[in-house]
Amino acid sequence: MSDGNDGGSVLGADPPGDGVRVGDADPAVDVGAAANEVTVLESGTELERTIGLRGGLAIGIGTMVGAGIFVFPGLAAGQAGPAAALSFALGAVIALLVALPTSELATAMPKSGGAYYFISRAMGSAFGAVVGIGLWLGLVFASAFYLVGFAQYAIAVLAELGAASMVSDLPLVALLGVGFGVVLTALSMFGTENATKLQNSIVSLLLGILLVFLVYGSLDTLGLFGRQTVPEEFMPYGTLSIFTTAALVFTSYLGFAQVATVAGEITKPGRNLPLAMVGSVVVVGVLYVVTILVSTGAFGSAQLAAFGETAIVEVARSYLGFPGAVAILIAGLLATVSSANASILSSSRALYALSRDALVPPQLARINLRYGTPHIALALVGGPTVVLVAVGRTEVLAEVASFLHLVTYGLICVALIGLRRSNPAWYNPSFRVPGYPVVPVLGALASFSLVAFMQPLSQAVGVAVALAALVWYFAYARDVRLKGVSADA
Amino acid sequence: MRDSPDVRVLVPVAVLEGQVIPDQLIHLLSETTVVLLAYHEIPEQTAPEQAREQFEPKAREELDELVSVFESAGATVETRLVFTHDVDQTTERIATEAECDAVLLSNPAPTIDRVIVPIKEAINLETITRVAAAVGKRGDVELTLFHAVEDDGAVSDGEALLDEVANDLAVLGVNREHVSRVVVVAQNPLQALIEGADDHDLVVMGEEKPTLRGRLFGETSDRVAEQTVGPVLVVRRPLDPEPDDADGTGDSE
Repeated sequence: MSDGNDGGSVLGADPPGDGVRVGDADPAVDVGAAANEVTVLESGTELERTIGLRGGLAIGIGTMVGAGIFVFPGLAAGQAGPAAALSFALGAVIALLVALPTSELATAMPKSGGAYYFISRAMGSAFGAVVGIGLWLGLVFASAFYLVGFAQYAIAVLAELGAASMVSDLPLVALLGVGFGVVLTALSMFGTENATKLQNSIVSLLLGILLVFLVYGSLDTLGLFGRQTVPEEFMPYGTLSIFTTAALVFTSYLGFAQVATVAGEITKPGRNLPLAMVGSVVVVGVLYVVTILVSTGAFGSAQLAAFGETAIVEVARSYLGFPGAVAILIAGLLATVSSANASILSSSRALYALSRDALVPPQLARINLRYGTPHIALALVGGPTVVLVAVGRTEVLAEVASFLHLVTYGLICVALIGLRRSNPAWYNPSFRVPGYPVVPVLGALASFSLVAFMQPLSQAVGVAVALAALVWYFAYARDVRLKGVSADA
Repeated sequence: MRDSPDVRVLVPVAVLEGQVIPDQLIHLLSETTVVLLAYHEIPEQTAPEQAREQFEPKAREELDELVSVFESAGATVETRLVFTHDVDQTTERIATEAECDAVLLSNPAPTIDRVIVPIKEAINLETITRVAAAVGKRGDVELTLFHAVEDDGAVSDGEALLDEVANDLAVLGVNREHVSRVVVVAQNPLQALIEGADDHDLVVMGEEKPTLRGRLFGETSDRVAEQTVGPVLVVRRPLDPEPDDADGTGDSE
């Protein structure tokens, strides 16, 4: 079966020097020879690395920042009160516990496909199939969730313009979300020039707006400008609510692993991959916690919950007036779009990785000759996404996305422990997890146990997806053997 | 100066887009070592590995054909095949790694009879001379050494400079009768060059240090390539010594 390892003949090519190794990789994992700016395959063909640290951080932050700040504050405060800040902090800790092992695996296997690739190489094709399909659909759920968030912001903009009453009898969330989902999918299929540069500037702009808002809000909350904060009990809904809320808002951290899906394109992977993953978790974690503290300082949690997904707009209005509300509305539109876009692209990478290993039909990875894009894979992401946007509820979309990712994250930690113990010849990460084995063990335990705090409906959907993936594996791909993977031998 | 008189020219080719290297250019480069960079540029939403799997056999096939064409013209050929999101980055990296003296910016060239070589004192004169010699010593092209000065007083200095270059070319095996010298007085040297290049088929020019103006409006060589109809052979400037790249691949002046 295809292992992505079928290089052509070597011509009179002059392999570059500078510490580049050609051809000594174990065939099980053809990592190629990863230099700072290029991967040299056995055939001598080179794959250029073009995403720097800034680009990596922009992918991580850009994917994550949409949800935690612009969708969740109202919902989370409604569930846990001001203690929702602890839920976000807990989520950040869990994300870090997984981000460190993911970094190690990504530097050892800097290939497209990220988590799927690590787990299938460490644990065999059955786990690989569940994780790969789980990642594809998990990202579909996440994209749908971001698009619903986007629609809420678009509606809030209409309301601000006084136009909402004219169209109030239409199912606006579904219409706007589906419409924009189709637009995003079409854009990625027909080629978006300079999408990365655009993403970088969007993320910079977002961070700028948020910084102004959060710094002002924090100072104001602390009473520097004479504001009376709303007095409220820190944990009005009990301790358990912190954990259930953490399970809900964990969707806000599904982004660091997306950096690993472009691991094959990151320059200086040994340095930039860990920095981008850990750095983006730390940045958004701090932003989230401060956002909740500032929000609950402005309004009571019941009031925030009543504002719903766009609660942060009202918070901005209360601190900075109308200009603040406008800035946050714009930021919310940008953030949800950038998150949805990044998730759609990562999801199609997951499908590609599956098809490379023949776990799904190879046609899925076909590249459109005219546009150079994987149009079938993108359609298989965009299609289900808009269906989910049309029927889904924010909380369930978010939790199913988290469920599927958390299973993957737990398995990443298990895969790391497995690889460290079996220590195959090709396993040679340039970044090693500090505090092994405590960090990956804690990461696995935390990921799996967070799933237990979700709504029953989300758990049921998540389990159903995982089972369906297994059924698919046994029906379509049970005889797939990944070369040199001991679990498959 | 490098020990071997060998001139290495990087020829980037968009290998799957049917880009054709004109026969005249292939002929012209037959005295050099050609580093053939076959690249395929892919959009950001496509993984390079994915494009590689689908397109590598085809790309190898096209590349093999190009190699045989260059080799039958007499050139020594090295090849690189790269899948990339960013052609500029790839060209720069390969040019450095493969220690190329010059990079070809290919434009259509029906015939190549007259080659213009703008000379500036400041730019990398030794390598430009070597590259121009490699192009000119086949004896079937005319070389025009071109120098722009700002006022009449500087003309004699310019002529002296071009004489020196012409002598060096002769030492490197170029027939003096095929070398002519032009010194023009012009306020805008770039415009003067573009006008001077008008009745020539190929420009051999030095790469300049990146400047703010260059970042805003494009490097001089790119602008020349855009505004002249023929190909441009850009002679790379010596690498700036970098602290972590101490093995120094650049030429010493």
